[in-house]
Amino acid sequence: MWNALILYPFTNALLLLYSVVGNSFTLAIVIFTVLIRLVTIPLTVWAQKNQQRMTEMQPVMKELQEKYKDQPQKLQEEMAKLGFGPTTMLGGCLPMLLQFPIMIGLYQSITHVMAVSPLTLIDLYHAIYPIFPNFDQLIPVNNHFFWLNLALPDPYYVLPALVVATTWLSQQMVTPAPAAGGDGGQAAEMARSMSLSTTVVFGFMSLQFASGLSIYFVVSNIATAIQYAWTNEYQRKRIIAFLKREPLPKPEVKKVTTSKGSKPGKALKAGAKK
Amino acid sequence: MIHKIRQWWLLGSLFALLVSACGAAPAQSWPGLAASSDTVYIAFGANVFALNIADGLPRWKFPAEGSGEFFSDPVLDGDALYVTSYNKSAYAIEAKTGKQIWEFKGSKDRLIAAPAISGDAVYIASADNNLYALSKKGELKWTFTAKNGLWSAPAVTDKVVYISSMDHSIYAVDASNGKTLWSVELNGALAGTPTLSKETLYVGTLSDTLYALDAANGREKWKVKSEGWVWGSAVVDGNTLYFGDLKGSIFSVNTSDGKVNWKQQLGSAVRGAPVVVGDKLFVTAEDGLAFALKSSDGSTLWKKSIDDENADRLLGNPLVVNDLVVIAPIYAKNWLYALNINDGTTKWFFKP
Repeated sequence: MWNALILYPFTNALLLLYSVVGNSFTLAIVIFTVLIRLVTIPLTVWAQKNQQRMTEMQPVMKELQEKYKDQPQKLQEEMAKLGFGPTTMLGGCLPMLLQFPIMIGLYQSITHVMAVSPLTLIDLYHAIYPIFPNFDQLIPVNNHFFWLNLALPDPYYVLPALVVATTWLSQQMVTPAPAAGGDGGQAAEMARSMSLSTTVVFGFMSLQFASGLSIYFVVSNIATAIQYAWTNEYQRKRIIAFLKREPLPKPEVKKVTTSKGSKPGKALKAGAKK
Repeated sequence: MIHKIRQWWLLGSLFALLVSACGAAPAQSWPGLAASSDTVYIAFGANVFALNIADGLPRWKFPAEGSGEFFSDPVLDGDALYVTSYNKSAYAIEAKTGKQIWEFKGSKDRLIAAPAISGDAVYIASADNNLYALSKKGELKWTFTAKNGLWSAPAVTDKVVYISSMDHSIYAVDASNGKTLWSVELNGALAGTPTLSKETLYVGTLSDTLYALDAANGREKWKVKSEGWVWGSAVVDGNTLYFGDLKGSIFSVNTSDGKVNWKQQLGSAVRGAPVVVGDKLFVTAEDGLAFALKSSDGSTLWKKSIDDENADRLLGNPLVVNDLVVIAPIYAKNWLYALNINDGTTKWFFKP
């Protein structure tokens, strides 16, 4: 299942790109990463909007939690009316969740295509689609790029440093604008914690694994940063301010309340129209 | 709140750990085998073991303390056993005791290929593109460099060393000084040891072809198109050549003109070299089946499933010694199985 859906298609796509771009495996990884990002844009944009909406709704959620603290069933119903079902909650994590199978698949396909050991070379043989008979002649692929052996970690730690820097940058972009009228509270704390954890984990992985995977991380992080800067005005303003060395802008206030007499569902609609 | 942050940290760390575990493959290749009339040697992973041929009981292991990364076939020559390692070292070991005689540390990359011996020379082919010629005392005599990694042992005579390379070429090298006598570029990477017989070299490529080349100048005599990669060495018996491919076919070919006598499909990749004994051909297939075929027409005499419960992956070269067929799968319950040559029943097995 995994091989048929992820590993073999990735491996063949990488080999195809490798042959198209003149036997440069680094370039093949870069193009492949950009293509993957393009394909997953609708999902990430959806997740991005969902995440921002959840942040905006923090004060309302707080209000509801306070109001129905002794009625968990009622709280759940009211949250559902606001559109906070399990799917919505999952939506915020979707870009991260999507990254994992792609990342693992890419790591495996890089090691397949590099085929630095007899077992991986046999596995590569099994992975190649019969419709690409000339792939045989591409083997062994050129796994050198400047000082790097793409099948091994970077011995000079340049790529891990780039991975840490770009992961931090992309995490800053992914972190939604703080909720209106608050310090961000739990959500901001959680976002900071997630951002730090992700940066540390990705940095650690780039120290341990094939530098081909680190190239994927760097390109993917840059693509994420560009995508969020393109689609999110608040993040765009932050970058401009950062580059001009000006104070960072405050987020736009989108006040969403459960006003007296109005139902939360109505309040959400009113807030969403603003 | 702190509890939740801890949870995220824990999840992140756990994920890193899981991915680390996925990255560290326990085996990079398959076991290597060698035998004398009373001993079987198996090189797999951390150690090389010497076992009694009669009952499979271990005599010694190398290294006695610590561990290495052994995957290639050891080579027995007189009182010494030569073995290469993925830790970049080659070793000469006393065959009777397992004590180290010398260690060669000159390679800059893994030693995937088995060593080769001729006269007073020990040849070590390395993934660092170099072929190292050593004396039997372990001293470096000369080095030959190809354009890509060397994954297979050379075929050797007293005067010429024939080495195939992943750079798609086969080289004939002067055994006295390491100078290139000739080289020929073929249609794909070469991962198997060439077979030398009656002035002809037989070598398979990872582009579905087996070539017969004139050993004097590398000129092509004929070639056979296979159905998959030809990785294992070919074996010659009289005027017939036998070889397998990774699509699971075994071929019988006339050595004079390359005409295929018969072809038999075994169902999964044939990576190892076949062994001919009398009128029988012993072959192993990746899905864990060992076969005895009739060499005249390829019909099956017997077949044996090594381990029905595990995906065992039988990829190494089988060995026939005395009345036993010895095979070593990768993921089976045991490391080594000694089968009765007549019917394939298991005589003994070994697990360290």
